[in-house]
Amino acid sequence: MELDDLERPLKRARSETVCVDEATGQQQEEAGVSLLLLPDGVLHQVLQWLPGLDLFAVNSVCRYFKDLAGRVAKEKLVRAVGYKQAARWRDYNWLQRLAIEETATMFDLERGAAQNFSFTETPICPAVMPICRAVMEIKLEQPGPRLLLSDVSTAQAPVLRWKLQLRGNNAAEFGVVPLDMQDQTKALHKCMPNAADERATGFSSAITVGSLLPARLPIMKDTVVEILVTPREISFIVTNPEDGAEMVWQNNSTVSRAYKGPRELRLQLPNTYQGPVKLAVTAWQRAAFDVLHTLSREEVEQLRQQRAAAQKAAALLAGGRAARMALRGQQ
Amino acid sequence: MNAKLTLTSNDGQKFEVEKEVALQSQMIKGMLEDIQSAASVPLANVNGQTLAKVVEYCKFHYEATKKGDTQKTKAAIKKWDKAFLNVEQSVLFDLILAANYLHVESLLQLTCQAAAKLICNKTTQEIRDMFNIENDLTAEDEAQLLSEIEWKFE
Repeated sequence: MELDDLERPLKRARSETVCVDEATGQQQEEAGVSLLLLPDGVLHQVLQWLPGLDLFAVNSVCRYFKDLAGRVAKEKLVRAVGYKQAARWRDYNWLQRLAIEETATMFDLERGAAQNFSFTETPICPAVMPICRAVMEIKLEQPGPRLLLSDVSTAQAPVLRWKLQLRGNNAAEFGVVPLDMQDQTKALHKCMPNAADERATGFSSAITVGSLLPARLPIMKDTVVEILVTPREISFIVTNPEDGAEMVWQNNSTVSRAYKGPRELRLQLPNTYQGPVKLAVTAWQRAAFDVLHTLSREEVEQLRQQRAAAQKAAALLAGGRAARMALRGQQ
Repeated sequence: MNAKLTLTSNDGQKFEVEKEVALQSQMIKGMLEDIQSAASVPLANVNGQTLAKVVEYCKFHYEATKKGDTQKTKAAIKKWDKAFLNVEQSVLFDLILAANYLHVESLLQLTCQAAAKLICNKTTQEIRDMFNIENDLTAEDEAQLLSEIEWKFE
């Protein structure tokens, strides 16, 4: 249906300050001036300032807004992350996709610290977290397995989302654990059930030993793992780097080999949990994750460039060192 | 001395402003490009009360821009804008319409943001009540929306 076909009894065709008669004026004074008096273009601009969840509320107001809110959500999202990223969560409408993108679930810092995870926070808080500083890096220097959890469960927020980039140890597991299992370090690793027989679920990296999770996926340095929990499903998108090298077991030791599998892997499970769940990661010693879901597209790009520059500098340094050694050997 | 321009509202009120101040309106700018010798601009779609506010806004922002783009100036502008928008809903909507008609982009952005703030954190029914909007959704629409309702943080 075209937008213009919708009945908008209060709509004005042109921009002009209104001269209402006394009775109408009094009525409007009591109930407030109708938003629908504003021209289409202006309403569009007003809605552009609203976050996804407020657009949900606007969406249900009337037929005119039902159409407009969806369009605005799509435009906002595509502008923020580009079309490909904006459309990556399949079978969701644009309002839901925007709400997903605006969901930046934080970490249970208290439990994380108790598990010896170290958190590096952003110097300036991004727009999504106006009050507290956001975590930008997580590291683990102690032997694992150790469990890292989200700060909230599905009891507090219907949508949970993490986007993490793996930088350290390739052994890792990603998934969800029932809230009452959050203090069991191996809850995810061993897929442990709670009293209601609801099990932790998710996937492990191909190199992880002893994992009882239902799926194993190849993940490597610089792989980006996105975990999403909605009332409908639990989804994972694993994006491997273009020139990735995966670690494989060979004669009881790990060796590196070029990764030739698909760049993007997806895993979707229906959300059948009756009780609340939390996002979870099991990590082992020397694990390191960059937290991407709290950063804007520009900040992620900046981080990528910084990492590339650091890698280049490290390579140059190693090259220089090798050359000096060779020179010394010749002398 | 800067050239002056007289803006006339639809209820006959006249506002004499510096040309540079008036040129913040793209609509007036366009008019003056067509008729360069014009000293008076009639604005048929803006009433005197609203035009006074628009002129106040344009004057302040013109002066602030002249002072330079420092952090202090930015903070002062932000504070002034906040106080400027402390108006009734009907005045805010008239300002939005005037900014849209006169093509004063910064004022339009500012007022649209203020209108959005009125909507923030409201339930659907609160929005309907606050802005006097009739629910014309069909049963089908309602059913579809119900399936999405679990997404709301309510």
